[in-house]
Amino acid sequence: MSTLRTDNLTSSNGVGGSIPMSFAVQGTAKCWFNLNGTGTIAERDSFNVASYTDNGTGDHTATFSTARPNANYCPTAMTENDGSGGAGSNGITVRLDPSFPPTTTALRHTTHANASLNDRPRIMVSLMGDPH
Amino acid sequence: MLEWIATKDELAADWLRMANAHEAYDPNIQGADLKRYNNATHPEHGGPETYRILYEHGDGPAKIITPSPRFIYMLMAGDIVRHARVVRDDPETGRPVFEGTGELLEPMTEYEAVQFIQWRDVPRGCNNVHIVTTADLPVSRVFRNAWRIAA
Repeated sequence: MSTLRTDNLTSSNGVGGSIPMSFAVQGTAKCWFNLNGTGTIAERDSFNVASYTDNGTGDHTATFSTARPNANYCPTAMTENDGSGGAGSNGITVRLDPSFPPTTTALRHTTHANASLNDRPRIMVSLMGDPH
Repeated sequence: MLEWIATKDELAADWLRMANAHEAYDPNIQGADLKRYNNATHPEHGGPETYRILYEHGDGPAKIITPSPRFIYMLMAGDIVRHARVVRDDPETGRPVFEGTGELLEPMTEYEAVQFIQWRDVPRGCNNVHIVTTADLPVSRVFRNAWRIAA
């Protein structure tokens, strides 16, 4: 493996723009996953995830394979609306619990239809933040 | 067991090994067929058997850990993951506090990888912990919040 040391990335023709390396490092996801939250629970694909804990109906915790340097990260989440509970009534909530599990190693999220926790067939989460 | 606050350098090294392993991912390492973890169907409905970790924590329903196949690959490949787990966030720095030897783990079998995930991701203090397969789980998730681990 070789390492390229540079401070800026610029397009070869000079018109495609230029970005500093800090943008490339800070602006890329530090974790993402696509999870099937129904049946026996399974990931479709992921980056930087070690495991998923099924805590109960519509309640999961994803554990990072590489710990985050702090909890000042920014998760975004989306779940598929399969029509249960009516259009627009499905949602996902990311829960940052500083006591357990440690937020530098795990991210807990719940999915719901109307006001009730509900298993969802497609749970999509990504996380931005400091690299290390 | 040794405890320490994670440093920037060691997290950077962990990150680099993980990212490279993502590129090198081979679901057929040691003939393991790790893609079967991507199939959510219960074995009674024709899906493949995969490992799960059961435990109880507090008064809630039984918890079930599903390993990520990519993380199992990293453990089976060896020299990627360190023997370390986060036990808490440091209240002063906000950085993770690790526990373990900190040494890189040698290549292991799929079952040994699941055993390591048990040590790493099951909360400390949980005693009722079992490694099972998906065939041991109920076929239906109806009444999921009432699931308990049988004695």
